[in-house]
Amino acid sequence: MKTLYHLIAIVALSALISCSKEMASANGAASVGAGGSTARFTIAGNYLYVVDNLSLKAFDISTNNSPIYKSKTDIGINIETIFPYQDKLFIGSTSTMYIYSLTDPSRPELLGKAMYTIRMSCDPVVAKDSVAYATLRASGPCGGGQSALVVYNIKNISSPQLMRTVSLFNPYGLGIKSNALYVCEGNSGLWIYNTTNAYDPVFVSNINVTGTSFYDVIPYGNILIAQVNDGFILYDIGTNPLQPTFLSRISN
Amino acid sequence: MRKNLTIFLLIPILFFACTPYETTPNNVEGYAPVYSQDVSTLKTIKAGPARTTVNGGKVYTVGNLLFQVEQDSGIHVINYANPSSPQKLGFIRSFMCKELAVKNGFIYTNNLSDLVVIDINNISNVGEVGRTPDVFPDLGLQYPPKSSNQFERVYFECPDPKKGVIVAWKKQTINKPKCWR
Repeated sequence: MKTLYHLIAIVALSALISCSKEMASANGAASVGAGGSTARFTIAGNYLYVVDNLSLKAFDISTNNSPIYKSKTDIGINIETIFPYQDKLFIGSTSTMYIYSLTDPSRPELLGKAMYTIRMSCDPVVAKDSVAYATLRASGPCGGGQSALVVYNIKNISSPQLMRTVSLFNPYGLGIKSNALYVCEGNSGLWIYNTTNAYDPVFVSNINVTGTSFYDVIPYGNILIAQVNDGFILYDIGTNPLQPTFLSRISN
Repeated sequence: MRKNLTIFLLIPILFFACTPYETTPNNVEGYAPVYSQDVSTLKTIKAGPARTTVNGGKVYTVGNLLFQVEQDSGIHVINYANPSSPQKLGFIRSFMCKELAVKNGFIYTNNLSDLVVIDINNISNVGEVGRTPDVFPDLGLQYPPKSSNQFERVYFECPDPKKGVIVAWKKQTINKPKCWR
């Protein structure tokens, strides 16, 4: 046990050191945490936001060890995921993408929403600048029909505009780094799209690993953390985000 | 007109009256709660050595640390300061853990239906530093699992808080269940 603590202490220290190094670098990603696209807990500023099946709860965590429950906002039904971007929260349900404003972080306010044409699917959402991407997995318990990647123009935030629908096989989580969009396609691998034209993602390539299913990704600084069926695979995306390079595999 | 109105008002009463016959079948397949009186153990947050991931869940990263939920039992901590050779560091136990987020060396997660804050800044003393009770009723075990068919009703024996904390739901035949979802 003691050895473990020593190990953790050394590692934590090195983590802190490399952290400050990262902070000094241009992207600064390492100073702020990130979750996967299928999360129900997220942190934005001094607030923890949690979605359950029906509602969004906000907790003030400015005093780290004593969260204050500030508000509960009814959203809709079958809420599944929450994703923070700038001063907004993107919330995915089985039928709708909701965008909430954090102008008052203690009380998020609905800015706009878009109802999917494919109903009853599992739908994480991510966003960058004026575009939002959602994957709609319409298989298994999540419904029937065709799975897809949907692309929304969110310049006019109160009424997101559907720009493209790209057919997919069996999508799970997704993530963005610069001009690359990563889509986890279960046992069909990790699919990479070029989003130089944000509203028209172009397929670049897919990474297929025998016996491996991809479920979610966290693009974090120069590293892509891919959650797979038996652990994680780390890729370097610092050199070229469109060409993830294998770094290591963490097995369960 | 008055007569019509009376009939109109009677219609819902008719439906209500019928409900018990429709909704409480005899001996139906359902769930019964399994209770534990040992609440303090279930609500103890504790760090220990790394362990094998059996049913990996949600993920969060900050700095060079990667956190992954072990479904219903806790959080794996993985260090990837050297991304070519990541290492599992340890495991933090939190019963019914399902979700997490991390900031400033504090993990925010659930322990049953409570929000708990786990301080990992002082590595020799990882443990709970804050708790907000009962804010996530659906993350605890108040209810049995939903049916994969959303239109199918799941019957269960109504929980009795006096018997303790629900730690599991077991399938069994229930006579005239009063609870369902």
